[in-house]
This record gives sequence, structure tokens and C-alpha cells, in this order.
Amino acid sequence: MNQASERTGARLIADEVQCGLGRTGRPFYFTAIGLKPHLVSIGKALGSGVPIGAALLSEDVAATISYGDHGTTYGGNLLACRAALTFLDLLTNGGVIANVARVGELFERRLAQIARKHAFVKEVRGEGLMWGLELSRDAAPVVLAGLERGIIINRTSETVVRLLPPLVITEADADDALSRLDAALAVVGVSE
Amino acid sequence: MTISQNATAIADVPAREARHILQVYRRMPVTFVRGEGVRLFDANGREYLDLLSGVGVASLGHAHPILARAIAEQAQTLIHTSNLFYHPLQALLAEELAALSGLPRAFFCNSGTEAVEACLKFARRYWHTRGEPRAEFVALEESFHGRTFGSLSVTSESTIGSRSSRSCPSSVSCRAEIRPRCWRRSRERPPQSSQSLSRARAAFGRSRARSPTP
Repeated sequence: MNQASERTGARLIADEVQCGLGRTGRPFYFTAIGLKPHLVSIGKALGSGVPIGAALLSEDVAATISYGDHGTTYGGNLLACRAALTFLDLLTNGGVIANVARVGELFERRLAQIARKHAFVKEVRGEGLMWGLELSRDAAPVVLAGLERGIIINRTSETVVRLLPPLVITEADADDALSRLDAALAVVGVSE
Repeated sequence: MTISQNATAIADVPAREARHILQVYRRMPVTFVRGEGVRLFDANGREYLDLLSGVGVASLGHAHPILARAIAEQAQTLIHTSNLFYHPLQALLAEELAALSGLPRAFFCNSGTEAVEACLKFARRYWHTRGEPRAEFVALEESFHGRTFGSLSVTSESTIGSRSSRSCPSSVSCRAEIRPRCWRRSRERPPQSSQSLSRARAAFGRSRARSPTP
């Protein structure tokens, strides 16, 4: 893609709204795949619950934008910026990224075990604290069975269960939550 | 008694929502009223482990003491002034993001889909300014980039389903006759031109012709 961009002049946009800002154990996922984007979109984690998003621009793209080309009334107000600054400080200086890497390994190990145990878990995809379980059946009953066992998960499509725990989750809580996920999958498997 | 602790009000939530909230979300049968770290508590005091973070948003968990203090302090100082003026925090945040990403400039908005919209707009603007307008976007299959028109137009159909509400149809400009006087319009401008009215009439005619008979 970098080569195609250089050849055609096309500008690359990396959408890091979900995978960026520590979710995969690094500040941005584009670095993991060697992508050199000219534009990056971020949101979600940035304000830790206070709504804020941002477009990040390379200098060559930024140089083509002038006064009045775009704008927003709320964007980047003091409350949202304060939340984002606090989050970024904790992410990089407060050990949050390191926690994602550590607990992420536990997720990877436990989810692989869980997939081996339940035949209808076809594939486990993800990195850090961003995981999807592809099932060979409807994922909705798993989400409900999880809720009954005290875990919050969701379904991104008919057959995919998504896990996006807080980046600060401890290994003990992760272990507990994944045992409950295991139990939820077991009860759905039995009812098949 | 606070709103979140009013038991009667909480028991009524699903029924009241069904009456007055646009039904675009099929919600899980639970009403959360409090959080602490990775834990959420429902209206009955039952505890849940949150493996979703409000869809990836509550990155520091819930009610993080450092974040809660920072927000409270900022709310007591100054929340919003708009982008017509400087304030001390945007530059600091942009500097941090530049250091982390290697991309030197930031535009702040309120959500991820708005960030995607801004990227699409800036990419188009890049070519327009260079005098070689390009309008097409190439997007990955099985992608999801948000729910607003621009973001939907680069979100794959396999993710979002039908095309019916995906793309923004071409719009027709028709100057409004607003009374009392609209402050945006100078008094010197000529009255509504017959051309713009006929353009609008033609557009309405086209859309009626395209609509299936009920």
C-alpha cells in the first residue's frame, strides 16, 4: 500500500478509532504493519468516555487546508482535551500500555484454550486487548449467557463475539472474566 | 435522591424508552447505574465484569479516580469556549499526539466517525488544492468506519447491510426565504431566483418519480 501510494500519489488514511491508542499494546496499529499513513482517525479511547475524536495529518496534506475549510463548534473543548491529556498521560507514563501487553498475552493463551474446548468457536482473532471469536453459529445466545454470568461482551456480526476490555484490566479479573466466558460458551454448546 | 438511585424511575426505563426513544438499538436487558474499574453495577446492585468498555471507549475503566478528578476540576474551571478562541489545552494535546503518531497536525472533533469524515474531506481537499481534483476513495472489504454518510460510503456492504441509507444523494441548492431576516444573508442580495426554485421543483419531481408507489 505504501508503494501504491507512492506510485499513484493516493493519500493513505488509517482508521485507528478502535485499534489505536493502546488497544493492541502500542500507540497506533499502523506501525505494526509498516503502513505510512498521511491521515489517521482516532476517537473512542481518547477521552475515556468524554466524547472527543481527532484527525491527524501529515504536513503535505495539512499544507493544502486553509482557514474555513472545515470546523466544529464543540471539537477539542477544554473538558474533552483535559480528559484526553489525562488518558494519554496514564497510557504512556502510567503503565497502561505495558498492562495491555501483559494481560493481552493472558487473553491470547486463554482464548486459544477456550477455542480448542468448544468446537463451534472456529477462529480467535486479535491482539492486545482487542479480540473476536468467530463462531459457526449465531453469537447472540453467547452474549446473553455471558450477561447471565456477569460479563459484558457483544456481537459485531451474526457470528462474531467481540471483547474490548478496559486497558487497565488486571490479570486476575481477566482470568475470572474468561472463565465466565468459557462457562457461557459451554451452556450455549449444550443447548445446540 | 439522585436520578440514578430513583428505583421507580429505573424500573420504568425500558417502557419509557419504548415510548420516546427512536428504536435503533436493540438493548441488552440491563440498566447500569454505576461503575468502578472493570466493574459495572446494575440497578439491582448486581456486579458485572466489563469486557466491552462501552465499545472500546472506557479505556481506563469506570470512574477512574485520576480521570474523575481531572474532569471535575476542569468542569469547575472552564468547559467550553468554541474554536473561535484559543484555550490552553488543544496545543498540548496536539503535541502529545504528534509525538505518539509522527503526524504533526491535529484537527479535533467529537467522535470517531467525525474523525473519519474529516480525513475523507481533507484527502479530497488535498487534490482539489493541488488543482487535480480526485474524488474516489478505495476502502477495505469487511470494514467498518462509522455511521455518518461519508464514513458509510467507505464501509463495506458486508458489514453494514443494504445500500438504502448508505450514500448521500446529490443535493440541490435552493435558497431559503426566511422571515424574520436571516443574519447570514446580506440585505443586498437579490430575492429568491426563479432558477433555484425551479431546480428544487425538478429535484422533488425526480425523487417522486423514483419512489415506489405505496
